[in-house]
Amino acid sequence: MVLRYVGKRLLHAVLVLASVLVAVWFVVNAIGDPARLILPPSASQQLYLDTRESMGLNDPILVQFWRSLSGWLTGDFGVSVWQNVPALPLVLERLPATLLLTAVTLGVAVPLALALGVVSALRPEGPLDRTLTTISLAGVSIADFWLGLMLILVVGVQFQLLPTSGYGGLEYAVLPAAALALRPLGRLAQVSRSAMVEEMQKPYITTLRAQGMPEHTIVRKHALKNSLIPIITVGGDEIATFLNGAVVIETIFAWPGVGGLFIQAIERRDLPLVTACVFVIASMIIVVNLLIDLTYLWIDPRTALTETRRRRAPWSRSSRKDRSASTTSQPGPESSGSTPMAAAGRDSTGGAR
Amino acid sequence: MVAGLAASALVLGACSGGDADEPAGEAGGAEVTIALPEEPRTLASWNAYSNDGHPVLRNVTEALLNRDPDSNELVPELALEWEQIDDTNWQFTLREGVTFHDGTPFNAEAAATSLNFVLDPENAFPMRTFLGPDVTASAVDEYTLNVETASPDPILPTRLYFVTIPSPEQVDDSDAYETNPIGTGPYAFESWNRGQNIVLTANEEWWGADSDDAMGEQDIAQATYVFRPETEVRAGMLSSNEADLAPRITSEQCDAAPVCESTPTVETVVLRLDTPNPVLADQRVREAIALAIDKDQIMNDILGGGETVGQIVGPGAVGYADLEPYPYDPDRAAELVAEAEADGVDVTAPITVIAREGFILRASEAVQVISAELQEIGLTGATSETQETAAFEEQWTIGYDNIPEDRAWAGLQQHGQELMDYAGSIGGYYSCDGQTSAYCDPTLEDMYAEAVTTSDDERQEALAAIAEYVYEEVPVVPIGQPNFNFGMTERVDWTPRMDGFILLKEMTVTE
Repeated sequence: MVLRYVGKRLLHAVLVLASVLVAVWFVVNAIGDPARLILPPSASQQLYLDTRESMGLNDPILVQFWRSLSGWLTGDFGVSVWQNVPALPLVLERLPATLLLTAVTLGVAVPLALALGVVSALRPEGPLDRTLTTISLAGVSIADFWLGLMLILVVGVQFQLLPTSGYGGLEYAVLPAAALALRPLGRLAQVSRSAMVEEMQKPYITTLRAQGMPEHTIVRKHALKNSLIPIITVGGDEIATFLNGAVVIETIFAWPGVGGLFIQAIERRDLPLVTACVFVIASMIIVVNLLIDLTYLWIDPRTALTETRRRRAPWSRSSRKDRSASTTSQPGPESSGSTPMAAAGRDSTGGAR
Repeated sequence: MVAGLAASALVLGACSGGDADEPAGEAGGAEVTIALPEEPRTLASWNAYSNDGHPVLRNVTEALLNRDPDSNELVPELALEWEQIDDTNWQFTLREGVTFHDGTPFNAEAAATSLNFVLDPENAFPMRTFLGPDVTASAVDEYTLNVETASPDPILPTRLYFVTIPSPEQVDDSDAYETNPIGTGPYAFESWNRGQNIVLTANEEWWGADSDDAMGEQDIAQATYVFRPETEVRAGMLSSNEADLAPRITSEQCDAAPVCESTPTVETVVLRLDTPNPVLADQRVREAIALAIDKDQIMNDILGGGETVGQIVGPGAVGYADLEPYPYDPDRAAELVAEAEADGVDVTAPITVIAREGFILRASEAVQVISAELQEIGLTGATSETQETAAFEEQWTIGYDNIPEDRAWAGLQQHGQELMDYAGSIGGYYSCDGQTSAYCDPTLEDMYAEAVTTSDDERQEALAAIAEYVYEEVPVVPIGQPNFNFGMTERVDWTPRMDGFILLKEMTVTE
């Protein structure tokens, strides 16, 4: 059952990746003449015609598409027009920076957000809860580029505690990660609070309390795990955002990530590089989604069961929510009845985008 | 004691983020870090002319000629002397005892191979737009180079000052040519971490080390170039000692820097008018636009400082006519618009004041101000817009013939006059065939065709006459010459050049 679930997920992943690439290829070839883009404005008409010929642009569009497709299968996305070197390695050499920044940002934001959410949820509407809610609301509201510049000016220039910008050791990641972490921190804290509040009001929690189980064990072993689904959904969404590139923060801090490269490629109409960027970013997001689906499976093994029974579109967020919703109808002491909260958590914070 | 120092050095290192960006190196001479606004798109030698390429490449590769930073005169670099032997042939006597960083000796054969490669129309490197007629170089003897032009080109030496010479070994190796520049310059290429930095180190074999006309010295052992698009960050890195030199910052940031050097540039901000459009075809409307714009406000309150001008090239250029900038006179402008309207010109038709995003600092504010000024004088259809680079360029460089009549752009753009010769600007902005021209006038064509064949005083006169002619016609409104602001740390001693080159050999460091 589980293997079948994973196999289906993998198959879907490949299909999604393929359709993204096909869509990008056709859009990209519709918006400009690649030969004109490669040549400087001073190029002669003859040179232009020769270039079109040598690039194979006179072939039927399906032949051209087939050529690109067979290139993709061998990892060949063509040569970057802007930098005149193969496109895919250009993107791949930016990948470690993106992954490092994502890891540091979420490594700080996620545990902190969970802690804040749980602490708030233990005494809903108490003074601590109100304070933390205010802080997390501020987190989702502050513009990251403003925060980034302020961090540079105060921490980097005024006190000179950390490098202002650039890429190197972990210390270079601190300021950009701090600027980036605030939003996911606020968002996840709000979601986990709502989920926990909901969970703690469930009858099975009352039962456990009546059985004399200590409160911290109830929270740790039962309530937290059951409220994880909405948190992971929103967390995965945040990861996808970072992998897409924290473009503004990357630019301010001169962080050599994929996002900055992607934007530069688009600005320069560098079609091979755009395609390679799309491929890498889409692949990463698909991997993240796959991991999230597997995490659902770990949290609630019934996911695989309901999934094989009910055929649905696998990648949309709503399907994830629906999926966790479908589990709620099953009776049982550890029923994860957190779905309305997942939706509520999204709706209340989603506007921050 | 030593251990204590080492320990405190470690702590400092940890605090200030390791040594990757540390300018102060102790071992083996001075090191500097230069924070550039953008990364070179390529390290191919042809890119030594461009804003993104020259800060790095002009130190690695050298040209036949350089310019004296004080007098702006052409002076020897790899060529010792040059003369025009007939209309289309020039001979350059080359410097002896020069070798490329890869050990290849520099001689006429090598120079010819490399020049022919860089200027080959087949290669169509973008820098060719600075060159006039096709060029063929050949060796006469070991140290005499002949350069032939397809048609007479009196300013060939001025053009060749832009063309640096790569090692001929690279001509057949396009991968290495793009990424691993090899020249004869005082600094050799060390490494390029894309997206992060480029490192150059002093070339121990440099001919200039024991020559008295090298126009510089190798006081700096190693230079690291980092790329910081955000001006605030570039400026901040000076205060935090992460960089020694930060070009292209705002005048406010420059004033706050430890040392600020501001210099007039070879750039001119211009507003180009689409003359194929029936409204902008009217000279009165164009003159009204020139009078309506408060050029001093645009230059000094919005664009970060600079002089207003009456011509699209500045004082250093051949053909500079010393024309008064059009005064700011909205009343007279409104009269002109009213006159045009009385003659049936539809002055309420749309006019788009447009600029390319990001290229000119605060361009979006400038176009808003200008469109408001046009509305003031009765051109009530004026609106403003900015476009991203590729989209803008696609519509900007289409040439006079391809500009649709219903387009009425007043395009704010920056024009570089690096050649220091007005003919190039005329060819680009005023002639019927110019790529960036939105104007076509038979009188001007004749004057221009005549002027390009002349040289020296005659050329100055002929080009200045064209300047006076287009001053009256105003197909392009010259706004001003922005200053380049360079922020520096105290330890660096350097004076900016008018051409904007950042030559390490002209820089010294005091510890």
